[in-house]
Amino acid sequence: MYRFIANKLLVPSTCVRGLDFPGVFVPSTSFHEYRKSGYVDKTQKKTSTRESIRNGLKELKQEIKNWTAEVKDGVMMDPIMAMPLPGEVDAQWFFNQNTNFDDWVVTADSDHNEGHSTCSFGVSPVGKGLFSGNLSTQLVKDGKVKNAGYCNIKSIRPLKSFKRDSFHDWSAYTHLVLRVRGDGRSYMINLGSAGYFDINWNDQFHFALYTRGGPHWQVSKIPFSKFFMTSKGRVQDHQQAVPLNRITSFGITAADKINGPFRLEIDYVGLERDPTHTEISAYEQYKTPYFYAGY
Amino acid sequence: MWLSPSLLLMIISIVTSICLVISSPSLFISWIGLELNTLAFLPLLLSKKSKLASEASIKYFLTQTLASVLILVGGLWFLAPWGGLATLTLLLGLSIKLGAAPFHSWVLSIAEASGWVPLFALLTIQKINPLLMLWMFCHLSMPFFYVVVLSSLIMGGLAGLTQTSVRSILTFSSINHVGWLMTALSFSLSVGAYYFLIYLTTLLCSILIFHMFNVSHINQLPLLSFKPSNQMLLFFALLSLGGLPPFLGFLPKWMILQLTVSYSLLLVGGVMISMSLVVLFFYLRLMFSAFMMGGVNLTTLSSDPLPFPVYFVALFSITGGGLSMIYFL
Repeated sequence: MYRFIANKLLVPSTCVRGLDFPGVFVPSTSFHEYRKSGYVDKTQKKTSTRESIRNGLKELKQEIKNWTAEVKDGVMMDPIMAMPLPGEVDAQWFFNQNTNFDDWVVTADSDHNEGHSTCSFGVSPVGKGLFSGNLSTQLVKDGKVKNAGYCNIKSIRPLKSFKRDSFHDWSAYTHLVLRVRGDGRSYMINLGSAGYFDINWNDQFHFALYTRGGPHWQVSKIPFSKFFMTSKGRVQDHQQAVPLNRITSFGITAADKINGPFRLEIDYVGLERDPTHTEISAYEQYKTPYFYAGY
Repeated sequence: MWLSPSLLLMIISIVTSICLVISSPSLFISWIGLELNTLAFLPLLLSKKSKLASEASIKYFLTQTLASVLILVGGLWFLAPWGGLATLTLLLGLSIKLGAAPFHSWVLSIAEASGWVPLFALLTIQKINPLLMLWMFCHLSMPFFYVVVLSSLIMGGLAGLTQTSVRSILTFSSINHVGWLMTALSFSLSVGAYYFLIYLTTLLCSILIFHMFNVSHINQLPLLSFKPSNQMLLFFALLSLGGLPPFLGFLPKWMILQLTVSYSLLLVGGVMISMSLVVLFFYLRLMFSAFMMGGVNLTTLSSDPLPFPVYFVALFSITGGGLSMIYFL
C-alpha cells in the first residue's frame, strides 16, 4: 500500500531515490518543489547567516562595478553594429588552453550513485576542448534505478550583476555551428530553456549529433528549427520553436546505450544567421478543424 | 483563427467590458468591467499555443489581479475618512494595469511572448478601461501622478534604445505614449480620446506591416526583400508613430504640448519634447537598418503587394494629419 502511494500518487523521483530533503509531499506529478528535483550539491558547504552576509559584502564592490559596466554597455552599444552578417559564424565558446573549464558543469550517473559512468572535460593534446570518459550501462543494485549510462557537460547560466539570472539572446541567429571531432558515437546537443514557473524549469530542446570517427574535423551547422522539445526528459506532443531569446544553457550528453569509452573534441560552439532559412519548427502539429474536440 | 467561436466570444466580452466601464455609475461596476476585460484577454494571449505564451498569460493574470485588488481596496477606502490614501491606492492599481513606469516590467515579458494581434490588443485595447477610470481621479498637481507620467516618458524613451527586438521597441514606445495619454487625460477626456484614437491608428499601420512580413528582429529588415514602396510605407508609418510632422501622429502631440505650455507645466513639456527625440531616434535606427543594404536581394521573399486594408490604414495614419493641418491653417 505504501509503495503504491509512493510510486503512483506522490512525486515519484524524490520518493524512489530516497533523497534527503524536508519537503512536503504534494499529490501531484506536475509540482516541482526544488529546481534540481532533490539532487543535493555535495560540494556546497553550509554557511551561517553571519558568514553569508560577510561574504556578500565582500562581493558588493565587484557587483556594483559589474552593474556600472552593464549600464555603460547598454547606453553605448549600437545594435546595428552587432548585427550578424550571413555566412559569418559568431563563436560563443572557444575551447583551448585559456578556457576556464570551471564554467562548465560535468556530471555523470555515478555522481549520485546511480551508475558507473565517468567523464571529464579538459584540454586535448592538440589544445582543443576534450569531453571524454567511459559510459557504462551497468545498473546499480539498489532496486530503484532502471536505466543507467549518461555523461553530460553543461554551461552555467549567464548572470547579470547582483547574481540575477539572465539568458543567452540568440534571436538574431538561425543555426548552431559546432566544429567537433568525434569518435563515431552519437551525442545529444541540449539547449536549456528554463522558464519562470516551476512547470517550465526542466524544459529543454535536443538534437542528436552523429559524429564521424576522425581524424578530420567536422563542422555541424544545425538549424534551431530541428530541435525538439522535452520536459524532464520526456518528448512533448506539442512541439514548438526554440525560444531563442531565453536560452539558459548549452550542453552535450553522451548516452547512446553503448558501453565503452567515448571521446569528443570540440573546437568552438558558434552561431550563424542564414536568411534563406525560414523554417520555424520542423515538427508538424496536427490541428483539428473548428468544432472538433481537442484544440 | 479569429473566427473560432471561443475567440469570438472573448472579443465580444472585451467589447462588453469596455461598454460596462464607460456606462458604469459606480467604481464597483467599473471594477467588474476591468475583471471581465482581464479574463477575456487571457485566451487571446494563449492563442499562440507556446510555453512562452502560457508563461505570459500567468504573469498577465497575476499582475492584473494584484492591480485589481489595489483598485478595489482604494475604492473601499473612499468610504472611510482616508480620501488621500484611497486615491493613491487607486492610482497605483491603475498605473500597474496600464503598464506605466515604474510598474512596466511585466509588459515587456508578455509582449515578447505574444503574437502581433494580441500585442496590438495589449498595447491599445487593454488600456481603454484603466484610462477611462484614470480620467476620474487624475490631476497633474498630484505628486504620485506627476512621478508616474515623468517615469513613463523617460523610461519609455531611454530603455528602448538598447532593444533589438521589434516587439520590445514597440512596447517601450507604448510606455512612452502612456505618459502622453495620462497627461492628455489630466486636461480633458476629449483630448485623451483624440490622442488614443490617433495612437491606435498609427500603431495599427506599423503592426500590420510587421505582421505581414513576419519581422521580429532589427536584423531581419536589411535582408528582407521589401518592395521599395512597402519600405517607404513602413518608414512613414514609423515616423507618424514617432510624431514627426506633417504626419498624423504629430497632431495630438502638438495639441498636448500647447496645453502643457498654457497650463505652465514646463517641466512635463520639456521632458515630452526631449523624450520624443529619443523615441524618434530608435524608430529611425530601425529603418536605417532596413535601408542599409538596399538593393541587395539575398532572398526572393516578400515581393507580393500588401492587402488593400493595409494601404487604407496606412493612408489614413500617414496623410490624415496633413489634411487636418490644412484645415487648421
